[in-house]
Amino acid sequence: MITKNTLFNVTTFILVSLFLTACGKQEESTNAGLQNNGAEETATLIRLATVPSSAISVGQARKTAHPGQKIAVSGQIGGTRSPIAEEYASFVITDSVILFCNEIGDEGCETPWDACCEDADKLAEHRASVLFLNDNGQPLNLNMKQQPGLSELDYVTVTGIVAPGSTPDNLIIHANGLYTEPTKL
Amino acid sequence: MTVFNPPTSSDPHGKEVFIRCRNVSKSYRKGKTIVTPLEALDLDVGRGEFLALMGPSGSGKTTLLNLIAGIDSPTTGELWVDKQNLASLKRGQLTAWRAKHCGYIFQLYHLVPILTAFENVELPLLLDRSLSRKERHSKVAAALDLVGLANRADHRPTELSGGQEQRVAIARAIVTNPGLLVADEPTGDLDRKSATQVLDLLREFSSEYRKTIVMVTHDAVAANAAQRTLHLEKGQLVEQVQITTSEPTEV
Amino acid sequence: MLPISYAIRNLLRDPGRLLQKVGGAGIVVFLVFAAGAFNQGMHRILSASGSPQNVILLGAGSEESVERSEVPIQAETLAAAGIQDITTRLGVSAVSGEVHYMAEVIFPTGHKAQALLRGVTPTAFEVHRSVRILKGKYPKPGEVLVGKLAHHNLGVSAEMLSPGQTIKFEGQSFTVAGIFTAPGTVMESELWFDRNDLMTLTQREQLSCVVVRLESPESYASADLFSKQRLDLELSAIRESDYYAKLSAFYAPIRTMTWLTAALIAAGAIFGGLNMQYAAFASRIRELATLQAIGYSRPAIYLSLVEESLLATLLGTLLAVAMVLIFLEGQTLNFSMGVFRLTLSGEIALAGLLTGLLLGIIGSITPAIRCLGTSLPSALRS
Ligand SMILES: Nc1ncnc2c1ncn2[C@@H]1O[C@H](COP(=O)(O)OP(=O)(O)O)[C@@H](O)[C@H]1O
Ligand SMILES: [Mg+2]
Repeated sequence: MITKNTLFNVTTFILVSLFLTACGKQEESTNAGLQNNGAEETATLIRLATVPSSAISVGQARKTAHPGQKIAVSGQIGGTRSPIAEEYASFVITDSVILFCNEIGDEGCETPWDACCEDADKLAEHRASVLFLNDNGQPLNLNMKQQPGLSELDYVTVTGIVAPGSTPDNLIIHANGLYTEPTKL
Repeated sequence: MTVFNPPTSSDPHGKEVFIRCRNVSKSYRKGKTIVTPLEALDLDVGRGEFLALMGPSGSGKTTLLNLIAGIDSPTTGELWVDKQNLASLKRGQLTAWRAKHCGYIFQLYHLVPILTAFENVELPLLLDRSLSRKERHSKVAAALDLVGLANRADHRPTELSGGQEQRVAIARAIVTNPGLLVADEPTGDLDRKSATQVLDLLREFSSEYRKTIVMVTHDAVAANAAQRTLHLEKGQLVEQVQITTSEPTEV
Repeated sequence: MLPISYAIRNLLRDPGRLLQKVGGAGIVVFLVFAAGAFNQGMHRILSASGSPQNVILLGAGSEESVERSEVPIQAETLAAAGIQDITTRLGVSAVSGEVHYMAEVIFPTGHKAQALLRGVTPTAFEVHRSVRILKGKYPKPGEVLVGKLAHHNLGVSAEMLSPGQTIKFEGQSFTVAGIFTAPGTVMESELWFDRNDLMTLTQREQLSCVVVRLESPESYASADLFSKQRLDLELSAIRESDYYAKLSAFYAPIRTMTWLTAALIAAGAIFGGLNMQYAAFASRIRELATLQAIGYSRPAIYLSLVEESLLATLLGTLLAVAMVLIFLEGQTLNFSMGVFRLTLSGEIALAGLLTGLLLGIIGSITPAIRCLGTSLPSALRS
């Protein structure tokens, strides 16, 4: 549920972000204070005002990341049929080198963020899973389509650490910072 | 032969007027031409009178009968039957009026073939919801008795002779005890003996039950059963004065 | 108001015409029943086959067909560990890695048939809770457990698939170990093998799917999260009920076709019936006029005519019910997903009854209007 209040908050942050970006200030960040409806857990999702300078592409991250490493990764939400989880703060980001269905001229595609026509191995090497944890280290209960209003095809940058269970075949980022391209929100 | 001049207050016999037509016209549209079988017609019939209507084929007899019976409405003019101006009634009202006040006897009987004599006679009574089944049945029995067909109650029309069929039709016409009976050539399809039975019945209704009867006929013998005979010619009614009437000699 | 007996006797006036009308209505209503039973039967079996508590992990990109799907074999244990709220019974987690396969089996008589095969482990029973073994026992290697309705699907007698009988698959002989039921689901049409047997014989190294039973439908998010955390497994988590709902939607054009056919035939019947009814009423114009002369209103006569027509079509509806009970009820029908039974449910019975009513009303409205349209004086003359 989006209440008037949270809507107000989100709008405020968008405006603040835009303002800060315009002023060229660096590394300003604000705690979004996002909370799941009624849940006691405190959210640890920080909305970033600008793209961290250390951000790398998903493809690069896949080659270099090792568990425990601090990381900032940029990519686009998509690369699977349903890239955004329903009730957990988690999504799949894919490197911009991957062509989504909407980029190859498949007009009638119901899931334009799907990379159905890309080479399977190439796709597998350019995808990562992003998960926000709560203070207890558990997946954060949050429908990100509602808050902060993510949608497929959004360009995002996340900051966090590479999850302990991450492998060279499967990159999982335990994120705490989220930057979204202003035009995309 | 003189033109029949309608009296203004009462009929020639000095009785109460039951049917009064004033300036009645009836036109039909036949394609582009308009046919007017009745034109500015006046007619008075007294209560309980038995009137015969004669006239050549196509002269408008059936048309006039239909107007009197509330089957059709006049194009212009007034048509009163027992204090009701039929010309002012709408179709549904006419239907309800017919059910109560008029019995129609057809040349070809028009019985419903799938119903027995009893059921045919019962048909008009079914319209009166105030009647119990028992009341209906005793009325039907009485009507069939009156026409002498009590023993044929369970017969279908196909199992009856023409004369019997017509008597069933008469029973159907009188079973609701209407004040008016109209008959369109009721003996036209019958042998002499059956015709006599039918005419005797009509006369009886007129004299004993004071029913007003208007009967169309081609048959002079049948017309004789009536008290008065009128002729329709060119849309007008004329009274045929008996030529045999002795001319007054010297006073 | 004309008595109903008048309408009844009018019907009996022309027995030939009555028979035509009753027969025509009967066929149309029967078609509605048949189309309804077919569509409902198919829809029911598909919706009963999927539990909202179950999640199917399918290979990404093969979300529509479990038979085309490939899932790495380790997904079974990874799912058991990675998904929260999985049901457990006596310490066994309800996670069932399965192989679904459609292939030909051969009976000792030489009869060949396409069969729906499923390779399972004993945990399949933890996931598919409606499955019960009716006769015999769980299959050991070299044995097969047979769904109660599988023989319909394969076109053989029940005896040929009773315990102790043998069938051949990929050149190897299998003994029927038992019969199972899973009421109203597609599983009842399947042959269940030991998973290793099936994988070995078909030289498969991957599963078709992993089915997980969760504590509640809401726990789906956990399975979904798992599939997103393990991108390397290329999984898609789908509620079992959604999977079958999609399948049901896939068959929607067939359902539309059956309804369309029924509607076209009904339309034809109505047009034919209209002419017949008009002729029937027209031959009675004078009688209908006489009734009006007597004092029956047009609406009353109109009602009686519609009544008459309704009696015939409802008689036809009754005939259709009888035909359904004799020819349709309980019949089994095969389609690519399995076998379902045709039954006359309350809804379909109602649809048939409405069809009968509509046929009667539509079939008599215009003829009655036309026949009562003539002016009373001219109708009396005719
Ligand atoms: N419904 C009608 N439409 C057109 N013309 C009619 C209609 N009814 C009667 N007529 C015409 O009116 C005339 C009188 O008919 P009718 O009253 O039946 O005569 P009769 O009964 O004296 O033979 C005839 O010319 C007939 O054709
Ligand atoms: Mg006439």
